[in-house]
Amino acid sequence: MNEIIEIKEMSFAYEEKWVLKEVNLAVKEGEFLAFIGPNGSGKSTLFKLILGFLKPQKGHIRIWGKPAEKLSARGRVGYISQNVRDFNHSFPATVGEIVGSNLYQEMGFFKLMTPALTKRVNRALKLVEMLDFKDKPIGKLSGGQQQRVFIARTLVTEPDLILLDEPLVGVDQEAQNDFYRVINQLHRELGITIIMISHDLHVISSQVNRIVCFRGGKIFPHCSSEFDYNDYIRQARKEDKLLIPSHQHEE
Amino acid sequence: MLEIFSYSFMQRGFLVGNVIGLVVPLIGVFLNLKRLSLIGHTLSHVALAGVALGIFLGVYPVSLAIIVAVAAAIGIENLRHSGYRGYAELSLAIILASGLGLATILISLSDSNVAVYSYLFGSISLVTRQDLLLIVPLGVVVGVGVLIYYYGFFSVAFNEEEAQLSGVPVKIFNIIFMVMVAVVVALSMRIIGGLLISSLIVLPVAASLQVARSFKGTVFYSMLFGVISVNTGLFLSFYWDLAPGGTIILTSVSLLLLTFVFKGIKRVSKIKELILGEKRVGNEKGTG
Repeated sequence: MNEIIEIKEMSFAYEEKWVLKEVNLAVKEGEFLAFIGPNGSGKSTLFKLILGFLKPQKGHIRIWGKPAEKLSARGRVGYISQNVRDFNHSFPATVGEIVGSNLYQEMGFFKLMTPALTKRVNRALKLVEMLDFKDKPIGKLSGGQQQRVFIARTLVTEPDLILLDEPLVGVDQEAQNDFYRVINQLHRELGITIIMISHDLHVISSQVNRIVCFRGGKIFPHCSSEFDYNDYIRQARKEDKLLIPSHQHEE
Repeated sequence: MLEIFSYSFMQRGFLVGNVIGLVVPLIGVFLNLKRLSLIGHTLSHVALAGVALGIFLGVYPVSLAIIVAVAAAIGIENLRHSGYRGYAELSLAIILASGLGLATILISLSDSNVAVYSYLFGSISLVTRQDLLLIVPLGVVVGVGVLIYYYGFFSVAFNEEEAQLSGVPVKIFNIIFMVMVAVVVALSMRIIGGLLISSLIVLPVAASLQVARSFKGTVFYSMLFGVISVNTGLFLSFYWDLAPGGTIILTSVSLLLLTFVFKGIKRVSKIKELILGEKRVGNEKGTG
């Protein structure tokens, strides 16, 4: 399998404090990875570095062999941010409009929604079983349904890699099960590489191929899924107090 | 032909008014959803400084109002993203205070307070051919620009981070948008008046949000309510001899109240339907 992401000796600091130090990680095509670790351990920061929103001070991050900050094929990477569901719930847009707007780059000069693009919107909504909700206002849906719409919004660009930043915060158990069913289907049937940040080690360990642990600015690319998570968090918090103050930045 | 259209100043007023009635609410949809509805209020005060400067220097006031408002809009955008990130209203207050301070001094220096007054409250009879030649083309450019890049502005209003990822040049869009807002505000001062323009940014959109079920619907109804307000306001102000700016705004308020009533009736009828449905099910169970 080809490597999609290659991170070598990469360090990143917010102002004068190191958030990530000498990180090495390789992600292969078709993997389903979980990033776990306490708040402030650099998980979301690593996502932003992979996306090219931030630039490392040392080392490098390559995606499909090119520096992340110069990534031209934005459509190949889908990203659902931690605060995506914190949107204005009175925002007067339908599910179809939210998903379709992500096709901006493919709309041509006059930025029109062509029949071909409408078909892609329908296909993405069908994949997450939300096609029947296409004309419903986004704010009227449940948390789990909104989450699926945002997955469809990501899928509509037909990405090869999807980054999910704590997508299940505030989502009930039934919606979580639905979410994992859809994500696993995308991973298995479409071969999409997925990296997901989660705090729930017990659930995520049964879903993914590999777990990457974050602690004290370091990452452990092959965490055992059977170690005591609570002990890990306790230990990590102790060490993080020394290495990275929790107030330093928000994940 | 109706008497109202036999006057050339009213013809000009209707032409300019309709362009403004379409473009201001169109811009207003995106502004309100970005929670920046007070920007119109700020920029109109700053534009007033441009008007006062124009009168003082003897230069065409609207062109100076546009230049000053555009500079202020870029200033707000920079403050919003650098100095006062997360405190958008602070950047508005800073620019508003600076603009109003400057306007007050310039007004006191010029001896034509009547001309300034007409820009504060709008004056349809003073719409000149020069205004027409500036306002109509610029209004059309802004309107067409927003409609072409509709999905880009939509994405930025919804979530800037995700818009950036989907390839929308967010920074450029934000600056272009602010420039367009400044131009539209400065242009509208002539007919609506600087003090009332923010109402036309907010009211048609607020009414539209009550009835629309999609973003496209919100844009459509906002523009429709804007045009209805302007035309009704101009008719009423002409025949009843009222101030056009104020009449347009009060028509907008009336439309907003009508949408509240419409929504209320719709809600009551839905509840009635629900109760009738439950009764029907109960009766069927009783007979079965």
